[in-house]
Amino acid sequence: MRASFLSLPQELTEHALVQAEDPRILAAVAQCSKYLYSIVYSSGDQHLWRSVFLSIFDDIRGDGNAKVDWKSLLQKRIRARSLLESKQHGYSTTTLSLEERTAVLGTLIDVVCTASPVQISEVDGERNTSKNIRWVSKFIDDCTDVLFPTHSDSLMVSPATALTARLRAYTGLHFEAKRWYIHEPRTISRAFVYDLRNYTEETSWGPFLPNGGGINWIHIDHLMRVICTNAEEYNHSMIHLPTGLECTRPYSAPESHAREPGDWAGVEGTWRRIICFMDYRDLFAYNFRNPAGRSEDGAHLNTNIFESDFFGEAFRVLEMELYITSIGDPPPSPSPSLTYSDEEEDVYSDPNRPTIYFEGKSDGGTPNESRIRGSVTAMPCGGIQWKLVSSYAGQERWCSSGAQVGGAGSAVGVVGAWSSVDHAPMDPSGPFWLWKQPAKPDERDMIGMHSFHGL
Amino acid sequence: MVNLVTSDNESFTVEKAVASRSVLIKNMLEDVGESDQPIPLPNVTASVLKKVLEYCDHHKNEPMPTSEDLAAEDTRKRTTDIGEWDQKFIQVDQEMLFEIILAANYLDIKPLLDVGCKTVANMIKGKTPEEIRKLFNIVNDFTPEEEAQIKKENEWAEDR
Repeated sequence: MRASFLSLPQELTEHALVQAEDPRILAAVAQCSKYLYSIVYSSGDQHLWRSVFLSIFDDIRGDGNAKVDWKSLLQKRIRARSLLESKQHGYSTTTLSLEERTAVLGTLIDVVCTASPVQISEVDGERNTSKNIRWVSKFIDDCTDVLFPTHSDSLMVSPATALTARLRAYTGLHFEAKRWYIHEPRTISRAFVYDLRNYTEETSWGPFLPNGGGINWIHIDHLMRVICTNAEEYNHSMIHLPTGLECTRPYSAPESHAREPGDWAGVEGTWRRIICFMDYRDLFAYNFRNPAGRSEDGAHLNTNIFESDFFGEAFRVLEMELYITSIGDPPPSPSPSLTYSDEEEDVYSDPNRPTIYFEGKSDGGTPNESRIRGSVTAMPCGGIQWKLVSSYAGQERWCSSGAQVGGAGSAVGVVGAWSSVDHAPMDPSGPFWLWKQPAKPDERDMIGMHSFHGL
Repeated sequence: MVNLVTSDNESFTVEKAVASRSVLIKNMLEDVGESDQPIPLPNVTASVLKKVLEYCDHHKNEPMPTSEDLAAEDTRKRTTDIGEWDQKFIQVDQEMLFEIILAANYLDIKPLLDVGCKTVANMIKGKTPEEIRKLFNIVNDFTPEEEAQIKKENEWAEDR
């Protein structure tokens, strides 16, 4: 018999198909004949699909032996790619239907969230790369307008809104760089994060959905935009916010490779923290002296205050040093009235990621050093929730509630909101961003007072 | 030197370093030890072995793939790029291409097998089912109904 494509043993045919690194050839080959169809679709195991999947994406099995449906996962991702590529060219059809948008955004988010954790090679000190991040980055760059439409329909709340916000948070809004000074998104974000009605006990006083519903990515998106625009406007690149898809990978934060066993969240070490706030008189006026400005349904406050030439926020950059006090069980409470645990922690606990309790000190420009205590918890949705309480001169004053953006130990770190521990009705609130620093002081970001107009 | 005998009874005498690119031959030599006995290769014809030995000779000084490389099969960085020399080397007619793939598989010469399979992959890439059938002389044995059904099943890969 003459050697031909059909005379190859099945394992060699499969080997050749895998070498293409293009799943679409599986579909083309399967349509050629019954025999080839059976190789692609009727094999007892998913060896072929797994091999093709792994030629393009990071392994999603992790340490466990989770059963993965490689075929449907790969098909879903390729379908998203085809949809995006079809919109990339062609002038008139640059929008996706809502259903398509939802599917595409959900798929891209899934690819980001299953990127391989950062590992540093013991041989050459090289950092491993992630196929997933490379794959998604291409679409973020090539299809920005499709994924993040700027026109007014982006303001309409739809199932895709939260997904858009989440993907945008993962990208660190980097594609907005050129648009940062466009007033509209900045005003909308300020209006959201300084609207005190958005901070309630049900949402853990932070960027969370009510009643344990997970992370509120729309809130995170607004918080990040407010901090990014402030940093950009005021600090002339002294602070480098850790943004971008690569910074969302698990353990992409500095010193992650040196973390202690048990420190799954990368708690211990030095952190930078940016806190933004409005002049209290402005904040009060915006929230409580603004009846004329309420929209008819009362849902929106008048945002004129943010449009004023004299308006500005302040922000401070602080340094924090954290160390773990307990893993799993809360440490003895410093005073009986203060407890760490609340209901959701009691209900849910991930055996691989028990709640970590920590303490530390915070220092930065202010004359009084403050003490920090807090916890980091794995949420049922897969997210990671951070809570911090800081005290000055023995008095607990402020608490912070935020979510990790990216996987455990991500370089992006934690974005959330601070508020008073008492949560009295007119107490202030504002955005914060917390991210890990290298162990060597001279490699760290600059620190100092950054307070500007409005104070 | 090693003496290899093909299925059509031709004998090739080559350096040990060249013959040892084949893991099959390398293991045989290790098992047998120093010996003048010819090694029979009943699955390979002279014309194919000549071509395969040309490849082995060119690559004889490169490090052999380690067992870790092979174990890391799934995650290993693959690339459809083929080296310049290999590209020229593999410019053969289809029959020879598949003969080389079969021989590389039998003789256990992984890098050559990959070069062959990548070449096949590159030939298929971007082609429609009809073009692939033509390329490899494949008979369409689907009924029109089956064909429509299968087209539907493969919509996940369609450009839209």
